[in-house]
Amino acid sequence: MFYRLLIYIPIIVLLVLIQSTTVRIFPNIHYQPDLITIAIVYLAHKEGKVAGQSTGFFSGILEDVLGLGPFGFHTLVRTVMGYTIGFTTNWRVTDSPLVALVLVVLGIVIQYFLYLLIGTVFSYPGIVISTFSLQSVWGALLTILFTPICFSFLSLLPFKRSSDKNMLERLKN
Amino acid sequence: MKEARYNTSNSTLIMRIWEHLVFAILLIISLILLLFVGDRRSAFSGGHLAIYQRVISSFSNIVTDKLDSARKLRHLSAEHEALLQSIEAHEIIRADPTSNWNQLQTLRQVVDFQDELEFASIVAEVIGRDPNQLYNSFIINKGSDNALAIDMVVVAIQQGKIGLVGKVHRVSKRSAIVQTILDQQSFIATKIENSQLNGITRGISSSLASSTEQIISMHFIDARDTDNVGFGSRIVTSGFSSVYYPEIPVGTVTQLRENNYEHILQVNIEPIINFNTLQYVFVLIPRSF
Repeated sequence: MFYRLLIYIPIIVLLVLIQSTTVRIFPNIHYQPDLITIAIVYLAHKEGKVAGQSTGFFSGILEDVLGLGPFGFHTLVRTVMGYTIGFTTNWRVTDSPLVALVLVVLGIVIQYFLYLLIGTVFSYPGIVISTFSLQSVWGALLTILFTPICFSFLSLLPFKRSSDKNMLERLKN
Repeated sequence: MKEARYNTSNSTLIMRIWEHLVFAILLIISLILLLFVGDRRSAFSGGHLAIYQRVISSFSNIVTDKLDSARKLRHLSAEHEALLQSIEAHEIIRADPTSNWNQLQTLRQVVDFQDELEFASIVAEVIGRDPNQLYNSFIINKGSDNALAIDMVVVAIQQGKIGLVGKVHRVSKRSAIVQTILDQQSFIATKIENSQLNGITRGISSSLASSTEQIISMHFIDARDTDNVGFGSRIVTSGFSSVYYPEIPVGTVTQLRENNYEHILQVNIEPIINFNTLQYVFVLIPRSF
């Protein structure tokens, strides 16, 4: 697991940097897909809770460093999101595109719920307002739209396939 | 057989404990960061990441330029025709000394603008954006090594017009984060140019604007002054704050909304600067600095 984390973390670092630099590909639209959420959801689902929460933690720290929000905010949100999505790692039907969309929607819902919760508890009204904004809705839609492409791309990487893992577990038992 | 099963269940149990333990540790670290670092984080300013961002930004620019060039090619023939037609007109303008005079005046205004404000400026390149959509900020390639400091005012020139971009929010050695005027947490003391109507301007782009609009809004103008606020009126900084200097152009009025129960106006403003295409900015440095 540790050695695989050494693969995931550079991928996540690269994604955060891409996310923060490639907005100009859409010069007239200031909304962007959340590639980091897609990657965390993919890793958490394919590899389990530890991979999900670890990559979530690292991506969150990077987002906090590069962004304007309170330090620790994205770290907390991404860690919890990665951990929660990690519970789906034992789902039997895993490679369908529909499941990918469901998982990413679930990830977005968890993320926005945590935005509201933390924004309310720690008194960050800007975060609460932004969560209910058009920008969030468009951002979420773009993220869902990009999910099949990103999942296809990530599936090229040498991750453990959860369907194979389920098969192994069944054989063991 | 039994022993093998016992070993399997044991390792599963250890794995489960490990998962929850890692989660607990990461959760505690996150909460500590949020509680004790939060907004006070001068030590975590990401200076070293600026190098990587610069590399990816350059690569992204190349890709964008390639995509742009394909799009531009489609319009090229039409533009070519239009240009041929306008050559005659340009010849006339060239011969006309008043046109050159107007251009000179515009340039003089730019120079006068800087002289009036008594600032030197540092040119910086935008190398990255806020990776998340909750805030509106970007990263520039100049930092404390270039004498940048927190709360320095950032402006830009687009199509010959100077406009307010925002302020430096955080500085590291080689990079700085600029909070734009579109950010909801950005509050600027502004006024309608050539009038005494003052207000507070803040970003609303993330909550109300459409996908292509970038709008900010000015608040706290008395509803009785509606007649004095015209569409297209220019909004400038009033100087009633310690951060933004007076008379920096912010934008133009596009919409008026009357808030009946408070008897105040909400003035929607289109910023002078298009933040989507922003590449270079000027950080204003007071000469006494």
